[in-house]
Amino acid sequence: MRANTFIKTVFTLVVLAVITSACTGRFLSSNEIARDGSAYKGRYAGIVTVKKKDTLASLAQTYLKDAGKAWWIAQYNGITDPMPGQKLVIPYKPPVYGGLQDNGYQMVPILLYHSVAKKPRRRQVISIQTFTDQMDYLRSNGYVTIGLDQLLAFVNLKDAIPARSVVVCFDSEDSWVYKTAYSILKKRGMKASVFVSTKRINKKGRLSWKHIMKMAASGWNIGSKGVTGQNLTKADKGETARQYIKQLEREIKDSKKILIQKLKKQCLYFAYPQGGFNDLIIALLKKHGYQAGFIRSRGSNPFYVNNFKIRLTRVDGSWDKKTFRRNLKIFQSAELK
Amino acid sequence: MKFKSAIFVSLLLAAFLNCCASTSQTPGQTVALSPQLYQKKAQDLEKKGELNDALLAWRIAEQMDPDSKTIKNNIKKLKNTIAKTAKIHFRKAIGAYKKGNDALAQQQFLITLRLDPKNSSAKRYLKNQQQDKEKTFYRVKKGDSFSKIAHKFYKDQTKAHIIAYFNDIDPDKPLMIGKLLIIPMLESEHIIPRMDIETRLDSAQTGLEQKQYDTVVGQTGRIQAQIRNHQKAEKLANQALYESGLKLIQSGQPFAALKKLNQVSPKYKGLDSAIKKAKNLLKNKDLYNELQTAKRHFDQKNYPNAILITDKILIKYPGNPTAQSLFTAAHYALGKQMLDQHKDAEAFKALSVINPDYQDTSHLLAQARGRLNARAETHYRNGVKFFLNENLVSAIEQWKKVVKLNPNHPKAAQDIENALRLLNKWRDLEKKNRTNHQ
Repeated sequence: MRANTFIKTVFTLVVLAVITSACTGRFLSSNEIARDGSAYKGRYAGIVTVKKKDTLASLAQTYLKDAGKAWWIAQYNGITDPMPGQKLVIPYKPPVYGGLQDNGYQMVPILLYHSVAKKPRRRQVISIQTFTDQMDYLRSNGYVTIGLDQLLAFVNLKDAIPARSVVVCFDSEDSWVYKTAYSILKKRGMKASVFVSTKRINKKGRLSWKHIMKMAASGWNIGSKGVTGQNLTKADKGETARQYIKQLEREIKDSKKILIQKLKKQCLYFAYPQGGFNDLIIALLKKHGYQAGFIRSRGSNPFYVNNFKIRLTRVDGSWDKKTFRRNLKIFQSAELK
Repeated sequence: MKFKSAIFVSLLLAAFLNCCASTSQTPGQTVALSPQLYQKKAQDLEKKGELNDALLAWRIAEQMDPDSKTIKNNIKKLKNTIAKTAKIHFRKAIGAYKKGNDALAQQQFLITLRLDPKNSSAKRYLKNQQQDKEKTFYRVKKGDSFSKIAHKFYKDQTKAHIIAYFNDIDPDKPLMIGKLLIIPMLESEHIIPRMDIETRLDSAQTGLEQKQYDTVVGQTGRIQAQIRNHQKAEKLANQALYESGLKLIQSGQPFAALKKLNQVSPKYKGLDSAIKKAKNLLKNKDLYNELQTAKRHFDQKNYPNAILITDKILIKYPGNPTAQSLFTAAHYALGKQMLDQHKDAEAFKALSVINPDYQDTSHLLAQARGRLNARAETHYRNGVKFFLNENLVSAIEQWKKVVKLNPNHPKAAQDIENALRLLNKWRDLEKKNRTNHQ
């Protein structure tokens, strides 16, 4: 009797050993990936078998902690939509930064819309129809609108952005920014940024803090344009140098304080009112924790643009379609072998 | 016992099947992800020179096959290659930068960052390259502090923190000897005095008196940007827009006039009638038709008619820009035409009317003048010949032609006078002789 059970246990043990070795051999086989059968988070990339309920955004959220990085999964795997059962590789970090290739590098145009109206009275003002057409053009030609946070990561070589990235922004406190532009962009799944002078908010015909908070909540970046919106390179009559510096610090510091207070978010971006900037203003911006300054200068931005001289291209109402397209330069060729 | 073993065996079987079930290939897979696939990818990318993309592919292959020694070796090798190549290009870049070869420096810095995005020096060089030309630099020496440097450049120690922040340095941390600082420009020449409201109002008032309406609109606009509904500014703006609107009506430009008038406050005195006038003018096709006719004449090279019509228009609508430009163009074209036909006097007459700065009018005028003077000279010489042959009548005839051709001829007028005096003398003498003979 004892011998019988003994033989049985030995037999089962041997069988078990064979089974496990066979199975574990298969687990460790170079042809297999899955641990639990669907996902594997390695050191440099996640490897996923797509399930029915997965979308690029949900996968990006799980593996990259940012649903907005769906484009990266699509780009790296060369797909547009994930198919159930398909295996995808999701690298956590891009291999190259700054959009650098052997034949050139990426450029990002920042389109500034200063004034959009139904019936433009001046040549520079853009009509609502033109604005809509331009946004439609961007969308149907594969351009992707990015926010200032993404732009900052790009210029700091901290992250990659889609190849056809464009920034759309506004520097007006008038209510059309919310009532017109925001709704047009929202309908198209595009996002933008606004620079505001904090003193001008909540006045007649202007944006309210509620508007701004709504835009911020939907993913828009809100930047500062000072408190009064006056050109900071100009001093008031009779002002001493010391008073001038004090005035500058007030404009720079107080606007940031108000924006943080209202939006409960960091304020890192400053657009020089009327484009006026000098070394002193730049130094003070750095002192008060801003990370980028935006000037009025036509042209796209490579990653190596000076962080406090990032160029805004102001879109003019007199532009025809050709001119608009000419201002969408997203690549600069260069011999970089 | 038997029952127990049966359960036991079936459990074993279940476990066996379960653990090995996952080895089956899932449907819908096109290319099996495998370390071999990524190995090949990595090798291809390396060949193409895309080293960082290759490194990522190698690492993914390693994730799939953690035991492979080949993959590990390749990764090690590639990492070394990347680091080495980056260093070579960085050195090239610094060399080029020191020699002032900016284009080469930029190229090499970019290649460096493509290989090694963490090279902060390369990044800093590229980001500061624009301003290097115009900036003042200072290299930190032993014993320097920000306050000392601020005093040296600005005679003001309190500006120390500005230098620090501008260079992305914490002013409270110690300053490194040998560090190259950019000294920000803080001279007051870079600070422009801002016009205050009072000054702007004065400027607008003066503009209004001098009928410089654009200045008024510009200055009042800036005031309104700061203080909405500024009464005085609004008043001046309204007046400027109204008056410039009227002026445009007078010169037959109803469309432009309405653009101005529509910006005036609705209750402004006289606005309604002005707008009415402009709208009527807009409806009135007469001006338009006249201009079209004049243009037609011009196109058909019938310049005198074009001139006639535009002249009439300008009397009715002084300053009308379309009529004015057509007027000038017609005179110019006529002048040229007359020159070609050697009708120099007519050419001169036509060209004298217009501004000599219009195209090459002054040149053409000189040409016409030259020709007229040349002909005058010929007639003058003829006159002299006649005079010497005592044919005073013919001489005077010739010299009169000279004056007609060249009113400023230095001698002809005097000669005519002399000749006439002489002629009268002879006629008197002849009379005397006749009476004497009788």
